Amino acid sequence: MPYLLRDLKAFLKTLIKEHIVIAPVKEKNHYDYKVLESEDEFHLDYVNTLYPPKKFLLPYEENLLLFSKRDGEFSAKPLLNKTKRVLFGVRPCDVHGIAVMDRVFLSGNYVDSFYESRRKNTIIIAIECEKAGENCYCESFGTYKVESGYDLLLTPVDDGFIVRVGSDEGKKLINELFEETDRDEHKYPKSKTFKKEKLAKMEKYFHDELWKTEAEKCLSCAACTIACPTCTCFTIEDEVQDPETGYRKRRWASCQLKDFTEVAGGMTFRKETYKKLRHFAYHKLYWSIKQYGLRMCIGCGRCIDTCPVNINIFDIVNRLGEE
Amino acid sequence: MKRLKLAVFSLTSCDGCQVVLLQAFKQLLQLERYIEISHFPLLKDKNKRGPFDISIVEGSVVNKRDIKKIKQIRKKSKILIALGTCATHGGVQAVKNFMPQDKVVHAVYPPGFIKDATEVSGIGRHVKVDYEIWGCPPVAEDIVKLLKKLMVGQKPKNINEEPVCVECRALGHECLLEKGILCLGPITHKGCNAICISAGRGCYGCRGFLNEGNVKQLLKKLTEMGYSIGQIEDILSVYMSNSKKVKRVIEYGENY
Repeated sequence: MPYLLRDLKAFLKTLIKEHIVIAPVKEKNHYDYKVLESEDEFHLDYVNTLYPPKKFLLPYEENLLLFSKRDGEFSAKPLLNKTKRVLFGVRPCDVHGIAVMDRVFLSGNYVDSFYESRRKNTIIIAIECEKAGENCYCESFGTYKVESGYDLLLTPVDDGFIVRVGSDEGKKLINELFEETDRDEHKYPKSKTFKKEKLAKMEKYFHDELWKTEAEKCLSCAACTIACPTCTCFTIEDEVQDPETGYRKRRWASCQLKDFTEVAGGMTFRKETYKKLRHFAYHKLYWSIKQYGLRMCIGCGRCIDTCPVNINIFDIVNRLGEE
Repeated sequence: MKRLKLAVFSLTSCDGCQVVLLQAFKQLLQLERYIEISHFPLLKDKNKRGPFDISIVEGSVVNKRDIKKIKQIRKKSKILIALGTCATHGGVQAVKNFMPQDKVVHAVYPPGFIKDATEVSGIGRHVKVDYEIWGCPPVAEDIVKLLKKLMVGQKPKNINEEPVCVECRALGHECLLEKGILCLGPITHKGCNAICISAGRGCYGCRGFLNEGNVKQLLKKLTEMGYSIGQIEDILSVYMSNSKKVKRVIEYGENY
């Protein structure tokens, strides 16, 4: 049974009292996820944040292990982050983004315990969108709609929010501010779409000239992969502390950068810029279906928003085979 | 474990790198068992003459005395580290290379005062450099990390081909290029935690340019934003006037 929440501020206040709450906060010209100090910092006038909540589950740089060798004895201690946190105000597309990260790190033969520890201790409170942004493509994949992956889902209505519970953790947050209701409203704003026939036949357009001409202006700055909620590639480095101890670290990596495909001896598999850009597009939209059984693109449009030279992957895909 | 003998030398510079070194040494003091600071005139009175296991040199080569000095340092050092933009690329003072030598020596000092001036360059033009630590000023953390690696006998790969944008975006900043501010971040080595961009000023490229940075398209973007080639050249040559890329921009302009 859904609930009706009339006073969002009061709810946020109770949350902040008991949890570390991370929510979109207005910067000068954009919104970014920040730890809330007070419920007044949160305003529901954002379409979405410039960068996804990814960094709270997979930080840009983190220590994985503390290893040491003392008196000939080798030991390694995993450094798991178990801080309890609430991600508040997550848009439905980003809930799908986190589901992609879960698929990458938590299923299959190997579970990433560092990601798992953060993920398990994170409560997700999603809020449906009232309007779509200029570069939102969620309609292509239906990612404006979520049925799981959240602890609470809020739908904005005239007299407050319709709240749906998605987990036991979410259920625990229901307090006297919530009243039971049988209303079943949702907010699904219209956004832009990919041409389905192009998406289905991407393999055919792999050698399309458009990839080369569009990539000419690419600065290879990696903004697209950093802003992508599902880009989870990382690199590992061991850092010495003293001759007896050190940290094993991981840091985000990007397929748009040169050293990503560099191997011993200096050979680079994807040297040309257009190959890197094309790889990004194909991995997100096409190959991931075979690799993970899902499309890695959630249609949030952040790769367009953040590109300093206005490369638009969605527009490129829609124009494939036309010239 | 044998203590490594460490030396610090200064050529022509503002000495700011040595201040960063002092910051780094604060962290390195706990490693006193492994590293001995045997020559560092800014820090202590009694300095040894060498030979040294590791020598850190800051400052650029601007005259014949500097050339002689850097060659001597190289001879008595197992590992030579160039610290800061002056030592790696020539630094701010390298802009004087754009003027004829006979004119520039009279620009400030009276005739005959400067006798042995040469072209301004990083130390790498005169001696083999083993490691470079970029930046004006450099980052203390880079110094600490490198020394710790050398201390345990690692031979770290001296490359980092990632642009400033990587750290800048990871920190959650909005792109200055999208706000109309000139920024060289996309073609400059990261590692500075995008400190200038955090303060709202564009990157001036003090950590040197990426081998494969797309200078042509950045020029195009900046001219579209309304900057003249002259303005772009001025910023490009603040730190990197010795870079082949900057020389190419000055020669070919928009037709880079």
